[in-house]
Amino acid sequence: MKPVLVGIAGDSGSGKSTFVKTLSNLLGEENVREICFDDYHSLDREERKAVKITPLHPRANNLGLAIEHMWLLKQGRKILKPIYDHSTGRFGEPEWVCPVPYIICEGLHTFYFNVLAIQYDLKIYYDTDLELKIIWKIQRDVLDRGYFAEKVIEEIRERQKDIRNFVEPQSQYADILLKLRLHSDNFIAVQWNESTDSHWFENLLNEPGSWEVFQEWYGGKKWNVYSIARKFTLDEVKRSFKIDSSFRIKEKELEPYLVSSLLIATILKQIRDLKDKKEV
Amino acid sequence: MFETFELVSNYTELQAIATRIRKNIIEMIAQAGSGHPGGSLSCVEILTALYFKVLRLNPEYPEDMDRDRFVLSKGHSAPALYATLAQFGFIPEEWLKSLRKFGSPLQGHPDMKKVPGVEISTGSLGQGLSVGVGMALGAKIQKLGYRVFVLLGDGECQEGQVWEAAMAAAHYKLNNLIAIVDRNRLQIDGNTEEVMALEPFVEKWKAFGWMTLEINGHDFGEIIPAFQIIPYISKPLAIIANTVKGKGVSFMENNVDWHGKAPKPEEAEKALKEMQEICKLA
Amino acid sequence: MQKHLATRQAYGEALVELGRNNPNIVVLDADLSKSTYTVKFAKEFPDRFFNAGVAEANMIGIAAGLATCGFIVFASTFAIFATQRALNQIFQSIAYPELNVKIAASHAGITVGEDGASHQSVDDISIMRTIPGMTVIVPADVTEAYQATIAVARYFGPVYLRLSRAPTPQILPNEYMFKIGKAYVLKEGSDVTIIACGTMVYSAMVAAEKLSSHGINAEVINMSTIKPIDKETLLNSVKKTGCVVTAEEHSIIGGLGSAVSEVLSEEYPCPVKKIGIKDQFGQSGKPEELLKYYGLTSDDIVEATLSLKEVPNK
Repeated sequence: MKPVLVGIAGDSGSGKSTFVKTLSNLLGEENVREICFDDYHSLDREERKAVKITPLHPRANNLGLAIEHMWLLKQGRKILKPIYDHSTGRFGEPEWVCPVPYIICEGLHTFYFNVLAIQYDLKIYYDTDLELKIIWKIQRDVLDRGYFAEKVIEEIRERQKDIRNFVEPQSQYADILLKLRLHSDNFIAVQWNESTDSHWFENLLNEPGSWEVFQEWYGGKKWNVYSIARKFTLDEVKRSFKIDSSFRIKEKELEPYLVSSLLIATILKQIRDLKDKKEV
Repeated sequence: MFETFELVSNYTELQAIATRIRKNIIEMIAQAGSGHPGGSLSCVEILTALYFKVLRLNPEYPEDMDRDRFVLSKGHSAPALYATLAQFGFIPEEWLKSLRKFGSPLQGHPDMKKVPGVEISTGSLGQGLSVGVGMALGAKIQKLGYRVFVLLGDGECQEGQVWEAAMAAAHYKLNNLIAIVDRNRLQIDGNTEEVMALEPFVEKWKAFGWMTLEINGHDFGEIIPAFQIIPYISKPLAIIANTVKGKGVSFMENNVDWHGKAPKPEEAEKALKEMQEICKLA
Repeated sequence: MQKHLATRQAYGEALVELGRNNPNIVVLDADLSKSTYTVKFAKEFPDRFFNAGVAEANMIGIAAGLATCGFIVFASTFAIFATQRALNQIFQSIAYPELNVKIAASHAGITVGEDGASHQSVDDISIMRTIPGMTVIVPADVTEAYQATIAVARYFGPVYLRLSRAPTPQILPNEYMFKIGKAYVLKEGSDVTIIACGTMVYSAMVAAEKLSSHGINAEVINMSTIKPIDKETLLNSVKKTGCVVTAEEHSIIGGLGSAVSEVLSEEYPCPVKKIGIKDQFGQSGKPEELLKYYGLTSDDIVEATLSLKEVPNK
């Protein structure tokens, strides 16, 4: 079976993994396989220290293998993928990844090259405000990965240059940019950017044109910008958008984050249905 | 550009080479009148993948210090190795006609003094992995980046020396040593599990400290990825390749009788015809 | 070199000297490095020493693999384990492909002592002799052991070097220069040729002294290279004396005595008496006791000579 290949790129600590988990829950965990592109690091932590290179640099990643793997998955073939263990900074046992309905790849260089980018059915560039990034990164890296807080902040400062050089340029290939911002009400708003020639957001609206849109230049491209800046009830969401009926949502009040996840999940389901029709 | 990528991933070229090697094996054993067709046919895809995709070798520089090493520990599969070396360019294809003949460089079991491309003489089972350990240690001492690949038979793993070597490889952290086991589940006296059970086989290698993968030994879609994982290993790697003894010839497949029996001229002809038919369908 | 060191100690020292001058020397051992004295090399060159543990067959395979990479490999363990347990490995992986591995086996013969039969090799020389292309060397004392180790490193090909556990007195003169394949006449004589190797060379010289009081002028030859045997020196001597007594801390089947007999029976048939272990296993005991029990003393050599010359023993 030929999977729906989704590429999500952005800095780590921007909420990518949580986003992927949310999508996975909506689409059904048994239908989704997540691939973290950190597994394609070509050097482990010790080697990176010896060479003095950041994992953000494409050269610290075996993108050639990643390209080959994405090609194979796209054709419905299985791959043997390495696993990078963040707690030890070394590689563990590799694992077989077999095609399932949805394969979601997330990482720093998910669609860094054009030859890699053209594989994905949908490409999302994930961005976060610096403030939010710092808060979240401290949370994750200290609690989950066992790093120290001061070390984390220093790391973020050093990273920003590398982010601008090696991660942000990818956004030109993205279909959708999702930018998370700390809103005035101290909650997280989502800005949804789409290239002006695609109509994902518009097509999801029950009433076309019912959502405010303005244009913005970013990364040398013009984008249609939609803003989701308040909480919605489930009914409100269903009234405004054509959400897929199979999604099980427990929450009564949905934050912008969850709303955008629902929209993305719906888009993915549409792509899946289209593929299934084609194969038949 | 899309099309060429498609072709590589379909491994059609490798399949073609594998078929040619199978033909050579049947022809040369039939001509020699003796040999080991079963175990030679079961490891063809592995040898094809190694020589045509994985091993860093150049027939013009057989003594290059940086070259990858391949050890055929299951020396009785010499016909498979000879055919592969001929296809790859280490030896002329005419040599294949002289297999096992008096005065021929192609002895019944590989002789490193007589055949370019053979890294160590083998034939007495159980010794190749130890030699591989030595070669891998040599790389570490000289700080060279070459890898050492050792192909063993599964029956061969009943020899204790194999496990002595496995222990040593893990002890010396030889992540440049890769053992491939041709798990065709048959030996001379019958099914391996009935003669001297090897199961749980994968677990045994893991217990000895090796990273262990189990693959379909006839599917390039599993063989190539298994080898591509080599840069990521920190321990020696064991690839247990599930294969069919006598693969490629219908009357030889999974048949104990064809371990060490040469096909008669009529049988060889039948086998070669079969292969031609399969080629046409592919 | 002091007197009364064992040949294995000289081997250990020679290895260190080799290691200092040649980066291509690699040494292996099978968990016996303190007994074989490879531990000295191991301490100074830990990157070039590998312990195979109690796995002699594997050790030989590793030695072969390293030799294919261009190293000069010394592999050590006890003689009985090297030549019996790992025989097929030596034959198939080292001798057949003619690889540059030196099997330096210590604790040969019955002077191993208290450990008993399971550790005493009575047939290692004969086993190694039958392997095509294997050079077999049995140094007589520490001087020769030291020089032999250096010499075999310079020689390209498989070598079996037989060393002992028990200390041996220095018997060769200071100006002695060891050469592979060259026997050495320690004492010139005319009545009988006593050919000895290893630990028995000293006993042979003692026996020669005792024989002179019987009016017999014995010629004593140190045959340190058993294969290829120095036919020239052997025949030159026998043509003078007309009879031979061989002495070795080894079985009378297949060792030095047999090697000498093989040559003489074809080229110059004459009476030969073999002093050696008479087709028996070893046993526990002190080295001196065992030598006496198995008939490996200077008195046994004297008796053999006297019976050969049909002189009544007073």
